[in-house]
Amino acid sequence: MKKQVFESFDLTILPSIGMVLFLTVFIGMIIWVFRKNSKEIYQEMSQIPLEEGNDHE
Amino acid sequence: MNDSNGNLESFSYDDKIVRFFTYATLLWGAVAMLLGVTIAFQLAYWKLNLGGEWLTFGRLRPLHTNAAIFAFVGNGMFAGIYYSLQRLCKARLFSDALSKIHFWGWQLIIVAAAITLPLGMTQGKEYAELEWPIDIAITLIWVVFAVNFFGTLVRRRERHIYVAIWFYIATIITVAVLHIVNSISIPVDWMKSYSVYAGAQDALIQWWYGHNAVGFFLTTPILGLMYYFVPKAANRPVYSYRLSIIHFWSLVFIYIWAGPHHLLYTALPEWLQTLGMVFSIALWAPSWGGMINGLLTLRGKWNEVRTNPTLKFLATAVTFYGMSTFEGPLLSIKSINSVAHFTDWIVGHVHAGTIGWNYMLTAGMLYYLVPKLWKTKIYSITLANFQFWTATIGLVFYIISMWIAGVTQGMMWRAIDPETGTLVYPNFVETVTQIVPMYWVRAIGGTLVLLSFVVMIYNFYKSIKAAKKEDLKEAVYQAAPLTKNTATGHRKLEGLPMIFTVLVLVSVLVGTATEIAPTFLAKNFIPKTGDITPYTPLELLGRDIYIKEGCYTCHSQMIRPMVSEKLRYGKPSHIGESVFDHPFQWGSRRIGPDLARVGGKYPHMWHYRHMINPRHMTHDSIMPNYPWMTRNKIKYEVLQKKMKVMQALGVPYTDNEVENAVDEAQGQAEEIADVLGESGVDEKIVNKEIVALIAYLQRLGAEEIEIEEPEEVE
Repeated sequence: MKKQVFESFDLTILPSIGMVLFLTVFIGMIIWVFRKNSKEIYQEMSQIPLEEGNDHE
Repeated sequence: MNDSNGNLESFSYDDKIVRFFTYATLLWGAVAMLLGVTIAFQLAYWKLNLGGEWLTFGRLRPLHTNAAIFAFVGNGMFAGIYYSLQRLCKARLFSDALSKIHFWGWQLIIVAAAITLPLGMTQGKEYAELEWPIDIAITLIWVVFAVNFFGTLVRRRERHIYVAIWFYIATIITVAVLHIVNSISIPVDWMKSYSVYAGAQDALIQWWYGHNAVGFFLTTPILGLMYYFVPKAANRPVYSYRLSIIHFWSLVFIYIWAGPHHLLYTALPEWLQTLGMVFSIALWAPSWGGMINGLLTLRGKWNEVRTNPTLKFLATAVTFYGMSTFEGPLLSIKSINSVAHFTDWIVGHVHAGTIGWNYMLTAGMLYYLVPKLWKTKIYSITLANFQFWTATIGLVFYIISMWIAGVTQGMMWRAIDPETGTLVYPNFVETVTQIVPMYWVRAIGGTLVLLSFVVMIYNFYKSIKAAKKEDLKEAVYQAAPLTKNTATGHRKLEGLPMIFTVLVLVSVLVGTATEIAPTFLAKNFIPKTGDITPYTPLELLGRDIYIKEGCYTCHSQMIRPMVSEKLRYGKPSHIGESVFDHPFQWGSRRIGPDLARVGGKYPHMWHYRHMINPRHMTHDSIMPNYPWMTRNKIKYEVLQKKMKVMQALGVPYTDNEVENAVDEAQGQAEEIADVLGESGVDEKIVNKEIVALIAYLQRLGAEEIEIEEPEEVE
């Protein structure tokens, strides 16, 4: 039954769906990184490697 | 920022394990490069194959690639990850014991590879040659690494997860998926197994693995290191943190998808090919975004780049990252690929990445780490500069010689006389002789790179020797532990590593499934072939000798649908022809000619003499001699087991055929030996490897198959 279902439609549609899905997520991610307040958060995060161990003041 | 008073915890970092991994990086880096130089000279001068069974190009080349990727870059990556992870998390590694198991386990795997590959124990899949017990060991050690890594993450005292750690997580998850899926095989005995995939499906999975191994073993972890060590060495934050996030998600989402899509080319609808091309080109932007991000972090520090070896190597590495990620998409454009594929251009591209990006970045990282880890000073900046220039000039020699060799050979293969319609260079060896001078240039370039690495080892040896042992006490740091209410709102994505890990895994699996699922599910993915028969028992044994000797490192079995290839090799290969090939042997480089239809082209005696000394038949051949094939006996004792495994994999051998396999094989061997005997070959040859190999080679493409066109799907 399952096999017949799979055989009955063209599976090359699968990569197409994947492609559209990825494109959507990609664009969503771009919008997300430009959200409000992101600048301050990112500034704070980019300082992390410059600390060696002790808590930042 | 908040609650920095009060309940501070004291902790220290495990730098001993980082020192261990540093030693291993230096040792295996030298070994990998020595192997590379050896095989480079073997191509320039065939006698350097030394006539021994264990040191031919076909057996050493897989050892070189495995050593460079998994031993050199692998150990360097572990050193850098363990050093930076502890500091980015403000926490000691989860378990000192697991760190030790990870270290020694990984070194044992490398030693096992160094023993088994020259002995010809191989699965015959590029960059995944190691046999199944070693594959299992790799999986176990990788799990140890993952537990140690995530355990540290859970115990972190820093709320945020810095972007470098994202890259590390993607590496751990994706490499695990790639390694397990690609390596699934059924064992015949302790050191022989057959891939469960065959033919086109195996090719698709192998190159999904191969491309993403480059993406997730040689790129993402190293980018993570870049995002830690470049800011650290320049003592300023990364130019744009936002750009680094875009860089990350682009790689994770696009890489896994764009990698193998060219193998699907013909199966995809037209509009999707166009979109796929747009996507590949879109990859340029984030990759270059990453490069620009790295380089701009150094803005205002360029005067230091001249004098500080760390910054000098890091800046060069990032530049080569930019170059390689420009060249890669370029090579995936179909018209360029048709010239470059199977040539040295690809080899040059790979080395621009591994030497220019991986070696340079590792060197930069080590120039930062060695003084920190041993509380010492770099012994000689002059030597570091000497190393830098030797490596750079060697690499330029390498890349340019491979460009010239690749384009020259690619153009010669396809040159057709417009008047007669025949090949201008019908003898393949003409196209080899032409580029042998370039092989010398490449070998010299490679030697310079090796020399530079040895100089670095000496420089570090002197630096470490000057260090005082009592200074190696672990420093103590203090930080507040994480409390539950510190992760709020929009920070949750970064604050919850497990959810993040699942997201990465989902993105990787969705990308994988959409590409590979059709090969399992669609009945007409591989069109039915007329009546292609499985290999005879003797041919099967011969095929295993072909795999054992690493013939695929120089010979393809894939005739592309182009006029020049049709003229040179015959009818284009059809994917239906390799349905019983566990594993597939399509190959990736033609140092010698394609063999997909070599069967029946020459008499048995030609192959016999050719294997003993190829120059008897082709005067300028650069192929090694294989005299041991006339001495080593055919291993009939494992034949039935092999056929049973093949049966289990769906190859239609009847029980009767398995039962009588040895008789059947010996019968066929006698026929071949009789023909050889007519030309004066001793009849004792009948039970020697060469007879099985001849049986296999004569079978290749000789069977005329009728191909049913796939049914149109409405």
